[in-house]
Amino acid sequence: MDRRASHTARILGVSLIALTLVHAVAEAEEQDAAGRTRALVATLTKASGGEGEKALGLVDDYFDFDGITTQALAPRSDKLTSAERDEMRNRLRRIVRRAGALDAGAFFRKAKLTYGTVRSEGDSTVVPVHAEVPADDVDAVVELRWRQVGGKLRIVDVAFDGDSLVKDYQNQLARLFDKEGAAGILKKLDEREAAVAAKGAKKK
Amino acid sequence: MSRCCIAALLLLAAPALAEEAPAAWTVDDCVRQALATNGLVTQAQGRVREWQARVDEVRSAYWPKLQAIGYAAPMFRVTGTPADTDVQRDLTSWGPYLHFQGSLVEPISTFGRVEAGTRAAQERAAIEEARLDQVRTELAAQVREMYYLYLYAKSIRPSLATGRRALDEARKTADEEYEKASGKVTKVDLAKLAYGSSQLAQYEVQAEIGEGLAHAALAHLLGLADDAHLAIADESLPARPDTELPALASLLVVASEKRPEWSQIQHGKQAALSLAQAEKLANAPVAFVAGQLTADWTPMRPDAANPFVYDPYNQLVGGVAAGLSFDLDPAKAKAKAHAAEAMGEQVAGLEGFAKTGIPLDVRRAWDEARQADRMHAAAAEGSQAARKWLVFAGSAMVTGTGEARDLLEGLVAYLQGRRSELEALRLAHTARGNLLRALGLTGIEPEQPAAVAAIGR
Repeated sequence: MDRRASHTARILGVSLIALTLVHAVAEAEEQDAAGRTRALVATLTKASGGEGEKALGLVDDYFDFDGITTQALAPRSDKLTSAERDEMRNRLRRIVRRAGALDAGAFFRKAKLTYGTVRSEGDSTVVPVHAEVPADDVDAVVELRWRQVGGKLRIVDVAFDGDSLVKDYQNQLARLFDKEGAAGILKKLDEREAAVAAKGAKKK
Repeated sequence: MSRCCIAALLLLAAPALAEEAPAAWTVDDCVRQALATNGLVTQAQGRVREWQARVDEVRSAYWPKLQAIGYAAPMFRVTGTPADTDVQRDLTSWGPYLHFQGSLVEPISTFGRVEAGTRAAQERAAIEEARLDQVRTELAAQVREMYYLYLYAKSIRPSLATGRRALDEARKTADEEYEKASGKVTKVDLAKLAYGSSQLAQYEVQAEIGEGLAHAALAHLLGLADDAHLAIADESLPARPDTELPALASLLVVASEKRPEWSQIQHGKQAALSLAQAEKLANAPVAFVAGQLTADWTPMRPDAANPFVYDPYNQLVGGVAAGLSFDLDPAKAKAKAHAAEAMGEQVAGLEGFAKTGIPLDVRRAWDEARQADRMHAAAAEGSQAARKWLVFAGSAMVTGTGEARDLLEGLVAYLQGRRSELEALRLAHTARGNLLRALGLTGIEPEQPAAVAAIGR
C-alpha cells in the first residue's frame, strides 16, 4: 500500500511539475509573441517606402511564408503536380511577402495601435492588435497567430475581425483551381507579379 | 431710433456664455449652455416673471393710494365781504391763487376678493414655471438631436474620402485598360464606375453641407452666432450605451412625477377655481379708511373768517373717515365667473387627455429607442460584414486571385453599410434623448431617478 501510495505521489508530483513547466513555457511564449509583434510593427514602421527592398528582407524573420503558402494550397494540393505546387508556392510567397512588408508597413505607419490580451490556442499564440486610422475610417482588430517554426516564433496566419486570411486564400485558390485549373492559378499569379513590377517601375 | 439705443440693443443681443466656456463641448455642455442662453428659455422665464409681477399687482390692492392735485393761477383783486351785494373788482391788480387737494386711502378688506385673485395669479405663475420646464426639456432634446446630427455628418466623411480615393483610382485604371483594349474593361464597367462615383458625390455633398448646417443649427440653439466656432469634444459619433433600456413601468412612474404637464394641470385647476371665486366676489365692497385735505389761498380776495361761510379762495379743510366703496356690475361679474368656470372645464379636459396621452408619449419614445438600438445592432453587423467583404476582396486582389468587380462591389457595400450604421447610431442616440424629453428630463439634472441613469446619453 505504501509503495502504491508513494508511486501515485511521484506520478502526481511529476505531472504537477510538467504542467507548471508547460504553463511557464506558454507564458513565456505569450510574452515572446507579444514582444515579437511589437518588434515587427516597429520594424515595418521604420522601413520607409523608399527602402522597400530592405523591408522585404526584414519580414522574412517574422513570417512562416512556407507554411502559409503550403496551407493556402492544401485543399487542392493532392491534385497538383510537385512542380506546379512548388511554382505556385514560390510565386505566392513573393506576392504575400511583398504585401506583408510594404502594404502592412504603410498601414502601420498611420495607424494608432493598441495591443490586446495575448492568448494561447493549441500550439499557437494569438496577439490581437486594435488598429485605428480615423482619417480613413478604419477601426479593426487584426490578430497575428504565432507558432514555433524552425526554432523561432513566426506568424502562420493573420485574422481580420476574427476571420483567417489563410482560410480565405484556401477558398480563393480552390475556387480558382476548380474553375481554371493549375494553369489558371499560375497565370493569375504571373499577371499579379507583372502588374506589381510595372507599378514599381512606374514609380521609379 | 437713436444710435445709442441701437448700440444698447446690439450689446444686449451679444451672445453670452453660461459660465466659463468649455475648451471642448460635450453634449451635456451644449445642453447646459442652451438652457442658460436660448431665446425660448429667456422668453419663458420672462413669462414667469410677468405673472409673478401680476401677483404683486393684485396684492397692491391693499397698499395705500394717494391722490393729490395742486395748481397756481392768476387772479384779479376783489374787495368787499361775502355779505356785500356790491363788491369792487380791480382788473388792474393781479395776484396768485394757490389750490391743493389730496386724499390718502388705505383699503382694509375686500371680503376675500383680493385673496382669491392673489391665489389665482400665484397658480398662474406656477403654470408658467411648469411651462418653462417644458421648454427646457424640449430644448435639451433638440440640442442632443443637432449634436448627434453634426457628429453623423462628421463621422461619415472619412469613409467617403476613403471611398473617393479608391473609386478615383479604380476609374483611372479602368480608363487605361479600356484605352489599351486589354479586354478587362468594357463600356458597361466604365459606366458602372461613373454611376457609383455620382452616387458617392451626392453623399459627399450631403455630408459637407450637413456638417456645416448642423453646426450652425447647434450654435443657434446654444444662443450663439451661427458662425461661432464650437470645438466639439467627440471626434465622431460615440458608441451606443451598452446598457439595456429600463423597463417601461419604471419610466412611466418617472414621467408621472417629472412631466411638467402634470404640474401645469394641477396648478391650472387651482387657478381656475380661485379665479372663479374672485369673480364671484367682484360685487363685494372695499372697506377702507381715508384722509382728505383741501387748501386754497389768495391775497386777491378777502379772507372770510366765519367758519359757517364757505370761502373757496382762502380755506383749509381736512379730515379722516372710514367707509365702504361699491362698484357694482352684477351681469359682468357673473359672466366673468362663468368664464373662469369654463377655464376649469378646459383644464379638466386636458387632464383627461394627459392621463392617457403622456403614458402613450413615453411608450412611443421607449419603443423608438428600443427599435433604434436593434436597428443599429443589425446595421453594425451589416457594416462589419461589408468591411470584411472589402478587406478580403482587397487581399484577393493583392494575390491576383480575385476579381476587380468583387472589390468595387465590396467598396459600394462598405460605403452603404457604413452610412447605414452611422445613421442608425445617430437615430439611437437621438431616440434616447427624446426618451429623456418624454420623461420630463433634460438629462443634466444633478440628481436623477435610478431608472434614468441606464438611458445614458
